[in-house]
Amino acid sequence: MTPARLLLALVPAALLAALVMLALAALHSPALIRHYPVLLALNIAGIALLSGVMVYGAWRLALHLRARRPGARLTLRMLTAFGALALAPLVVVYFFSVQFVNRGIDSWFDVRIEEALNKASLLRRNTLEALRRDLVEQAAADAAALAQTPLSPDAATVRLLDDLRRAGDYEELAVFTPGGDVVAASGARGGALIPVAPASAVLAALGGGGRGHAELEPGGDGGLQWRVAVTVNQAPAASPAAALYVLQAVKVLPLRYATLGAGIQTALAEYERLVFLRRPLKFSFVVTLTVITLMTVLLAAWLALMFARRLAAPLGQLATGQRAVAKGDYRTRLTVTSGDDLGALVQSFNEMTGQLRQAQNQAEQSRRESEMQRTYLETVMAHLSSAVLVLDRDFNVHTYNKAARAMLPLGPACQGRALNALVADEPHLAPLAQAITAPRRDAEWQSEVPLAGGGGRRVLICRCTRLPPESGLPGGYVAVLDDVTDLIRSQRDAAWGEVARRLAHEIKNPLTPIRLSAERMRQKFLPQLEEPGRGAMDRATRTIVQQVESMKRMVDAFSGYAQPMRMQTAPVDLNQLIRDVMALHEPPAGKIKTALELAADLPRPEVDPGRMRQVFNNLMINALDALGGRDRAAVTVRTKVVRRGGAEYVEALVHDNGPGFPAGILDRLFEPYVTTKDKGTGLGLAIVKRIVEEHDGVIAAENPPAGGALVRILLPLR
Amino acid sequence: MVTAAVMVIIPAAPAAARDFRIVDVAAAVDGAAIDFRAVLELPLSEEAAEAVDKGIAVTLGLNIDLLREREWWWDKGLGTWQVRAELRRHRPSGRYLVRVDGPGGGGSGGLDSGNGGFTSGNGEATGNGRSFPSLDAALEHLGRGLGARLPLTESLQLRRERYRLKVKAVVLFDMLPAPLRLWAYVAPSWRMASRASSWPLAP
Repeated sequence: MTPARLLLALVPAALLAALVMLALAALHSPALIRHYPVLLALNIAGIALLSGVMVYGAWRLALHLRARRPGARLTLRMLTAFGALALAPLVVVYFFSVQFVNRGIDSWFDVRIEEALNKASLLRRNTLEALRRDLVEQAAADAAALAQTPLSPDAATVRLLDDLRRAGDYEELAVFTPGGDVVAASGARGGALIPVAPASAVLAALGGGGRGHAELEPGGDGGLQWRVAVTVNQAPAASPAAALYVLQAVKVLPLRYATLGAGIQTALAEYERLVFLRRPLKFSFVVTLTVITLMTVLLAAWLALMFARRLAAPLGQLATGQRAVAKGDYRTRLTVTSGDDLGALVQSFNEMTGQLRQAQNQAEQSRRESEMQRTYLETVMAHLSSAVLVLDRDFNVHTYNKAARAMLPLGPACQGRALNALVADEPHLAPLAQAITAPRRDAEWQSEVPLAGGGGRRVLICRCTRLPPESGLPGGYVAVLDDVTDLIRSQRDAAWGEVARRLAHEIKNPLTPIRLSAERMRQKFLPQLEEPGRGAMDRATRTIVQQVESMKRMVDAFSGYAQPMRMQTAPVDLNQLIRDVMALHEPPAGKIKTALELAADLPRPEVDPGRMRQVFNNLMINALDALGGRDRAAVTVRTKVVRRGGAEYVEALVHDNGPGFPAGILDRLFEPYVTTKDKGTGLGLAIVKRIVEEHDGVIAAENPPAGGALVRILLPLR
Repeated sequence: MVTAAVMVIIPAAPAAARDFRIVDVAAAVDGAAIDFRAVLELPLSEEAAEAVDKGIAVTLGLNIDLLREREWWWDKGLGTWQVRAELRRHRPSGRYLVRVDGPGGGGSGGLDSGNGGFTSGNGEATGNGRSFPSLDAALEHLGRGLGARLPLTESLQLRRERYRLKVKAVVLFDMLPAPLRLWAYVAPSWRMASRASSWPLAP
């Protein structure tokens, strides 16, 4: 038991004990009556203590009610019920008890008893008065006898007094001077004691002419005795000076009178005593009753408050626990304070929260595992060189990895947006969107997607897979994109290198012996031949040598195209480079008009100036060749900065107003050996395209609606 | 509830009593005791006098404390005594009896102790005390001199120390009948007591 609980048990017990002792003291218990005031003070202190406790409890309850604390209203209701149940009977009992005490005590004092006692007392007084008169007369007679004899403190006087005492049955007989001095005395007990003189007032009264005085007084053995004093007027024969003495006689009241009188007096005295004590007695009883009632009421109220609190506590706990559970805190454990229904309810709540906590722990464990799995996947995806793009069934972007962000590129705003909607903002993504969103029946498909992204022209291999229903994104798609630009380029370079090597080996090598053989034939046989054989030999050998030379140039040109380029890039003023090239191809005045629309402050792209000069040189040659012999022929070169896919490019346009590219070769224009010129190698535009692509640039040709041919070059700004 | 009940019971409580007064104190060390005698004014309230008339014994107490005076500290108590004087009416004779009890045998009225019985008349010894024809006479007799011989447990250094007697006269409620006791505690008519007065103890 905790000290607080012990105190809570001891205080009511102590107060109850004090209450019981007060009640016993009020009933005049001999052991407790002496401590009545202390017990009353203790009980009043207990009332004050309980009142304080109740006021405090009520204040706390009011606070709890205001704060809408769980269980507060139930506590109030139970307290009210208990209080009413305890208070009403107590008040009724108290009221009737007070009435009973008052009327009961009043009933003790019957008018007839008082009257009888008064009459008995009057009778006694009359009897005593008669006795008193007789005694005074007897004493006066004795005084008259003494008056005949001279009185002096001698043996004769004492003998006379002895005779008179015995004759009158006195207890004591003594003669005093008017001043109270003893003259002579005779006592029934041998005269060992000095007789007590009459009171001075008695002596004074007798000296003033009084005949005698008698009064009843308590006797030595507890009885009553008369004390009678009369004057002794000394006869002249006895005393010439006519001396005055006082005779005092003490006579015990006869036992029958004393007993009768004492009984009456005792009864009357007791009656008067009770009458006097009536009001204090009522007060004592009422105060005791009030204190007991108050203490009982307060004790009952306190116990009711405690009981109500104990009863409501589990409900309050339950409400608090319920709120905690509602907030997701399943660790709440309530203390089971009783084994009753409420205790079972609390136990059930604890079991419920335990199960919820277990479920929560399992869910938390699953979530943690999922989180770990997700983190693992994110880490793997983040470190993949392939771009991964996850789309839902409506082709909205669900997730994508770091490589996708860099490769496409994609910003954070694209999350959740439809792929086709992204194309509106990022047109370079159109081929990708088309490759992914094209209607398919297969669960997996693959396509090559060219993309002009931030890093220039890219070729991506897009592998799409439809997500299974249990994937968490049913009907969605996952697209894995691999940038194969470098791979294709190196494969192409390798292929063209092999072609060049074979051409050099299989074609170029035989050319020299062919040419040497033709020249030897010419040298050896031309002088020996006559006309017309001589002319034929001459034309034939010359043709052989010319064609061999032409073939050798063609093979050299192809080798130059096929061999890997060694780029020496540097920031180049592209406008100035274009001006230099245009100066080389300045046509005759008035035949072809050239125009330059070059952007001011054009950034300097990182390019190989020699190669780039070759690009614009080839383009100008082609344009001028295409415009040959046309009226108002014009070539315009423009430069500006454009943005594509979040990156900046320098755009260079070469536009002529010639017949345009033949429609049949427009899509193959940049392939080797595609040409419309009679003497062209067919490698000019192919070399241009290769140089541009070696710079990670993009080249395109088109016939604009306004007419002519247009070649567009995009060079990335790094 | 208590207040209401008390108001019902004591609406007509008699007027408050006059206070007792200690007029004079004579005390002298005699060997191992102090001969003590006090002159008092002991006016009883009407209710207390009525109680005596109705046969209820009323005991007056004279509380005496012997203190040794100290300059820098509280006075030290050396002894405490109480002299009691019981007043009651002898109903059969109609006289008022006074019995004095003290630590060394009390006395009053300049007479010797009434151990031998009461005296009748105006201060006469009769039985175990003294009896008087009227209450006023009894009170006057008590007031003329209420004395006792107070035994000492230690010898006093009268030459070197200063001593004083603190005296207070009260009604001893504990000696009243039980029903009257609580009433006496709360009723103003029973609040009769003197102020505590100090009297030097001469060598």
